Amino acid sequence: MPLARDAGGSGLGCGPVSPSGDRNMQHHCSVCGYPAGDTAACAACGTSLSRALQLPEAVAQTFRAPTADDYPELASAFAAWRARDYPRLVGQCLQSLHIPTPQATALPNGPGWAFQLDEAPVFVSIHQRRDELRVDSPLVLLNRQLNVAMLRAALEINANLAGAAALCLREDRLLLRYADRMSFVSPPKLIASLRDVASRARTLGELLRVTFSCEVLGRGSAHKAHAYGLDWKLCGTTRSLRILTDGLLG
Amino acid sequence: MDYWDKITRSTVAVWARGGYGSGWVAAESGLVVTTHRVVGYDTNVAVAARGHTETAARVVYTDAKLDLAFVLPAQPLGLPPFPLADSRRVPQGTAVAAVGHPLGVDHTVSRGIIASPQHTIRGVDYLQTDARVNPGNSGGPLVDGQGQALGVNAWRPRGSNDLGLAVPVHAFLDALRQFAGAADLTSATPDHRCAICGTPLDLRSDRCPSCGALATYLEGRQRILQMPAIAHAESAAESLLSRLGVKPHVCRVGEGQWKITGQQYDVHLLVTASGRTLLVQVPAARLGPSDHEHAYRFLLTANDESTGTARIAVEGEVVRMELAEPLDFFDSEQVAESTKRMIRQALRLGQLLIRNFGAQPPPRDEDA
Repeated sequence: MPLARDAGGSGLGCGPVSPSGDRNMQHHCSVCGYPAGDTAACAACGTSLSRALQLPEAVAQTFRAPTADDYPELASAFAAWRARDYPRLVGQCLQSLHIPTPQATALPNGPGWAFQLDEAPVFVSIHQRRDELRVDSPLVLLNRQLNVAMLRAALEINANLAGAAALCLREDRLLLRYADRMSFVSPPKLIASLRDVASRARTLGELLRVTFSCEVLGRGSAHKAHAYGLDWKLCGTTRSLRILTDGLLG
Repeated sequence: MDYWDKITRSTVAVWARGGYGSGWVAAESGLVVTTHRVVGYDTNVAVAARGHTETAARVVYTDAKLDLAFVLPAQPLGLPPFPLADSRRVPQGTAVAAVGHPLGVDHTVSRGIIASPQHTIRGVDYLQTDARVNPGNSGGPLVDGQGQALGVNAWRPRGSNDLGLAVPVHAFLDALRQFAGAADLTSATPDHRCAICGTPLDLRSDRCPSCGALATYLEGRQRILQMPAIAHAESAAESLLSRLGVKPHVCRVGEGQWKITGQQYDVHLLVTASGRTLLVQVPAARLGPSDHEHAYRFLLTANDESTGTARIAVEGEVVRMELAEPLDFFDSEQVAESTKRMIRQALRLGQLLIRNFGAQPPPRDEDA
């Protein structure tokens, strides 16, 4: 622990040196650990031995969202995020995921992109009024005979999902959905979320199909053959629950 | 009060940053005896007696050689101290009971006998018992048939099932008297003793100033050593709790688990097994006896309305809201904001479910 401490009457004062554990009380530079000589600066790193090194007794750890410095390869995506140019942010992130030609659409609430990732259909949209990013991946159609069991299973899956996405119901279909405020979705978080939604959607779609004999959405040979012909109708239509619009979940 | 009540009443659970175990009240001042293995070199820990919520406690003394520690609760626990037995004169075959929280199960008692009154390992004399001592028992009392403490359950040799070792009371009686009678320990620096020679350690160094032995800061905390991700996740959770204005050590309820008890709600924080995700959960309601299909439809449709990463989930009969925050992108300020919003949402959702779907308020500890 390189704390600068007085050597207890050694005569070296309070410079940035620390005593070693041996009996000769050899002193060391508190920055690099090299033995301190009679010079004014450390012979190894050049730190002035008269300037005390201020270290806190305990470091209070804070957790912050990643910055552009942490991900130099995403510098332009970070620039778009900082400038609140969210369509460009999404475009940059899709490029990083090697999705060169996503199917871009103008939706009523903002721009949208549809593409296949990890064999799952993924729909990304920006809700401009709510400053929100949404990632939807349609999973399956409800099997009418096993309605309650499927709904129950979806809620139980939510209790066991490690990722930030959630299963939700839209009309007669189950979707995996991730939504967050644009200002919270840094470029690496968006990329990780897209990968996470796609890989979980593939697994969960298969799990539900096998368990409930239901129809999987957006997969199969017809869709593989038209990988970029994804229809937003696959996602169904969002039903706004009026009772919730006054802020229950908003 | 019967014997079993008497011996479990003054036994407490102890939570430290990287460990969990048991302890027992040993003095009128409320001083709790536990093991060094449980508290490590922490300064602040939490203790809880049976049926009581957690209380912050300060570590005042540790002895790595005896694997012993004393902690002083910030608020008096109001529990009578265990009477101390004469552990020098305990005959072989004496019936004993080990009390503690093995594997997280509260206030468990296992019976046995003193198999050997003096079993010496590395210069320390232990009481050897065949009472079961499992992880979580460490720090609990070994009591005789009169309910007197004979020692503190310390450890079990690897691979043994019926061989528990307890540090006898007489080995730490002097230290106990010294700290039990001290005037004010609330702000004292913990007195840590060397594992080899018992000299007070200065934690700014990693060696004993007298014998030069290395201080083993992480001994007994193998889970953290094995999984650096867990330590990172614990720090992230503590950072979040601090942002929420809660003292992390006070609301710790286990390894990688914390619980905030509000007037109307509970908030649970859990680190997932991989250490990569932090779950923040707020129970909203308990499902009613019928009408589940409509309730499920409503809940899953509501999930389509949410902004932010909060989601609605069901486990058993409990409907809850939860955040699953990947720790790779963890921002404690953002998650604190999301958590506060989710608490409001969960309260509101609970009211809606109770009013419209025959649900009931969520179970809380006092209902259990």
